[in-house]
Amino acid sequence: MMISKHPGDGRLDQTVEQLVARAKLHDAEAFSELIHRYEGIAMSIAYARTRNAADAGDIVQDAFLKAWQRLDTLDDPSRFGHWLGRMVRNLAIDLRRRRRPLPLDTSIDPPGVGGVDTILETAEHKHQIDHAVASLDELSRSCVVLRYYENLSSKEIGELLDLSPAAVDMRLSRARGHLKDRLWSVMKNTEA
Amino acid sequence: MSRDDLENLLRNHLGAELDAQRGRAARQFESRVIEPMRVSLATRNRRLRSLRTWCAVVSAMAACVALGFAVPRLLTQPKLEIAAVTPTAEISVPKTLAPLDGEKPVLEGLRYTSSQRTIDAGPALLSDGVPARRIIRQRVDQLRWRDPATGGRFEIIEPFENDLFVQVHQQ
Repeated sequence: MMISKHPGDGRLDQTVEQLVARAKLHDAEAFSELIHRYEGIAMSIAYARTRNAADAGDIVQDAFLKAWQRLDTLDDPSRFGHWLGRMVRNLAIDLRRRRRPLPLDTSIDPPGVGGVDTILETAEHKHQIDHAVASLDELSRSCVVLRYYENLSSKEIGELLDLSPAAVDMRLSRARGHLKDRLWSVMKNTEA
Repeated sequence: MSRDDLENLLRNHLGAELDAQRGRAARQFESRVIEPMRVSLATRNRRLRSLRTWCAVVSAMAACVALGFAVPRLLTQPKLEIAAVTPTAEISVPKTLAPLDGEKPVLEGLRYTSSQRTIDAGPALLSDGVPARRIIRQRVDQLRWRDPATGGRFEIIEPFENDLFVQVHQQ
């Protein structure tokens, strides 16, 4: 069972299987708990696809509503995360079809003259990190977001993305190397 | 750049980007699913309460109408004056019976007692709804004799009961 990094307020006593079983009987409270547990995971997958936080938020909203309506089609309750992830990916694809492809190169606004205390807070570095993450292939990007946003293990990421834990580790290792090269200047400035 | 630096950079960046989007799904689920369910449930409960109230009112009215018909009929029923009679008849039997066709009498000291009573068991309705009163008639026959050979005493007690329904005519 995967637990979100933002656990519920003492509501972790029920397993995902139990919550799904209750939700299938139209127990909205149980489904709210599932949203609570899986929102971060769904957000990570959506963000890895869209590379846009607001779009990812929209997709996650729609995905949970769709999941609520189609919960009867979920045969194995223990695979709720995997099932939801697939739904999120499909919704992200639909969104991409409706919109123009996202440009890899985005214009960088110059940072403001004053009031900026750290480099991370500047728009320039935010764009650089966005750009570096966006340059990864989609599966590697999903691995990176699930690991560094949701703190999931390689096994948990593998279950969500249909990869073996070793494959996840390999992708993460390569992604780190790639990002290190791309973000070298950012980190250099941070250290300075 | 160390691996920890890179990981911290990514964590901070992703947290800053995505944390703002958290809670949207729950809020939408609340407004699109839970809230309509609550409204629907409240409406259904209100309808059920209303239905129950109407059922109670209709039942009360039906009961009033039934009482309105039944009470005058019961009150105007003529009372049947049946005295509870408990007669006891004792028939003395001659101690010696004349021999029948030359045979000796079989029973000696024979005594036959019959007790009966009639009870008014109150109003009743016949199958076709005609008002009546139920009368119960009970009788106990008792037969005692003595065996001259052994000197033993014998007794037979035989109870009878029958119901009688007497139609009551309204005046």
